[in-house]
Amino acid sequence: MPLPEEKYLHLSDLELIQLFKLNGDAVIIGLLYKRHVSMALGVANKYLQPEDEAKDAVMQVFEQLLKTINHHKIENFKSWLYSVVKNFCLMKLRKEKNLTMVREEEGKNIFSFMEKEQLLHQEEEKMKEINLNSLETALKMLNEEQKVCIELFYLQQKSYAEVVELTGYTLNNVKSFIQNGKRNLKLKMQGAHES
Amino acid sequence: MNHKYTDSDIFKHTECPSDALLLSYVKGKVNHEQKRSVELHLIDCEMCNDMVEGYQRMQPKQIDSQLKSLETKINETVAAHQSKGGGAAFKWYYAAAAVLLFGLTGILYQFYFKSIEETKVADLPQSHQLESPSHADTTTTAQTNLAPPSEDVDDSKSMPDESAKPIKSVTKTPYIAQDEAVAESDAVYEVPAPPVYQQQEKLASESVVFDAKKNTAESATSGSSVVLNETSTAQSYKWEANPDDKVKATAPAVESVDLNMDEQATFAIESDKNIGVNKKVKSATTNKSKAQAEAATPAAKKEAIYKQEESKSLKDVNTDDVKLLNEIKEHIDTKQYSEAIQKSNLYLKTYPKNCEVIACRAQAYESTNQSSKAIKDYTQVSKLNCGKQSDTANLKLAAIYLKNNQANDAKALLQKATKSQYLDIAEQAKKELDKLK
Repeated sequence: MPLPEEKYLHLSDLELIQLFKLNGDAVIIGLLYKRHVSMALGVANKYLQPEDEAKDAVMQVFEQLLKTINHHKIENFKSWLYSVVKNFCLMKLRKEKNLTMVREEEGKNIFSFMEKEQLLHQEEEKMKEINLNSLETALKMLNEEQKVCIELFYLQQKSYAEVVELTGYTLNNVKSFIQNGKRNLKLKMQGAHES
Repeated sequence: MNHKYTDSDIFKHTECPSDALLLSYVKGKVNHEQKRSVELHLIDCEMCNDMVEGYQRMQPKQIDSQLKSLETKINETVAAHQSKGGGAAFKWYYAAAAVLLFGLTGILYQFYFKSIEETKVADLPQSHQLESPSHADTTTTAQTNLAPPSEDVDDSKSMPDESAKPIKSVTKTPYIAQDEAVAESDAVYEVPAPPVYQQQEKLASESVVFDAKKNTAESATSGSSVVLNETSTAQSYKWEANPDDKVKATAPAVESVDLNMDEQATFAIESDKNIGVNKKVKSATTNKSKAQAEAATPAAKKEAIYKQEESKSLKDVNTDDVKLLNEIKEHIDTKQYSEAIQKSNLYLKTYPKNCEVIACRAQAYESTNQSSKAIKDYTQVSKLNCGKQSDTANLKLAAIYLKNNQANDAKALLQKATKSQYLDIAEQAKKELDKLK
């Protein structure tokens, strides 16, 4: 016997949402959520521990979704879901007053210096216009940790694990140095270009 | 200058890898190239990075089992949601509400006609009234409540079967007699008024002006009024609203709205005239409340009805239809009008009253200079009363009429559009009208 969701398999995320808004069939949202449940679980796991709590959060988000998805205008379901799951977890953490602790544990810079995909795309276009000759100069202006991590990761094309091994920094620190270093590089190169 | 940084991938933007690839990365089941592309992406993408970091906190072996158990839970939730009656499943609470409504209507109906029967009894001579057990009970209650304790009265109380007998047979003090007189008069007031008066009271309280042949009784105690015309025959009463007759009703904050009554019920009452009249009053009340309900927010109401009908039909919409609808809209956006017309025709075979698609087709016709077809479609949309789309159709029609030098037709439509509940449409119509002036 075919599963009830099989007839919807060929539809895109947005088409599924559109159809759900028309006929209210919960199977549609079930299918949609299952497409992205691995992302939801991963994100929930990052913010909530133990694993069971993360799993509960994923299910709670799903139940909320069934009730409220009709009220939202969604253009990209996956990134919208990511925001929903993340906010749900942060709210939960806030309720439990553990937010500060988690931030300290996870490393201060990971959250604050992550950059938005769209913003990056725009910046990428900008950066193409900037003379890459200034990269070398800008790189020299970075602090030692950032400079080392950037050189190892981008120029020598080492993996995270290798950079961790070579530098002795933690994985979170390595990521943070790379992200911060990249951001500073851009700023310095743009500044040099404008001046 | 050494350009060693040009190939460094520093500012290269990458698309999100698939969740499967990210999971493989976490499990360490990717080749060097894949690993490199994932890591380059993770620096830039907060979402993927969070996901990967979350999984890195788990035992790789547990990931699959966790995901599987989540999928099972999702299926269970969906099934529970469906069995609860949410979503597309049959909504039991609607059925329950309908049954409850029927029950209440039945009770009210019974209560209403029982009171009419009592009214008829009250209208009969005293001797006939006493034959009625219900009335006798009322009198007894009045007596027992008001008379002070005395042996004689106690006797009457101890013999409830005889309480229906005339009270005059009981010996009383002058005070008791006086009290009883008051009690009796009170009892009389408690009895419902005779049918004709009751009916008039009802008419007055509900502000109904009832025209029976040439006898016109008017009452205007409240703001709203319903005017009904009646044609009566000797044995049977037929109440037919002429097509010209209108029910005028006003509701708070809404201007009076004319509603044609030609579709209201035509009925004949064969027996009792009073009951017949009461029935008519009841029917008039029902019609009045209908009229008031419609008058309250006519446009909103019509739109709600349209939406209800549309949602009913949309329950049956299948996925191909949704795709087709999207394609039609896309064709309109990309100005592929012939395709839009072709697909609209296909869609309208299944859903002939879909305003959105008819409006799309009209737009396509209009853009391809097939104005007569466009007019036909826009007129249909306008008549379907589907809210904003209908009001927009009026504007579009007016524009076409103006192009065709049919200024009067255009004016009429624009004037109609100025009454739209949608401000933008009303304002636009007003502007166009001003231009015409």
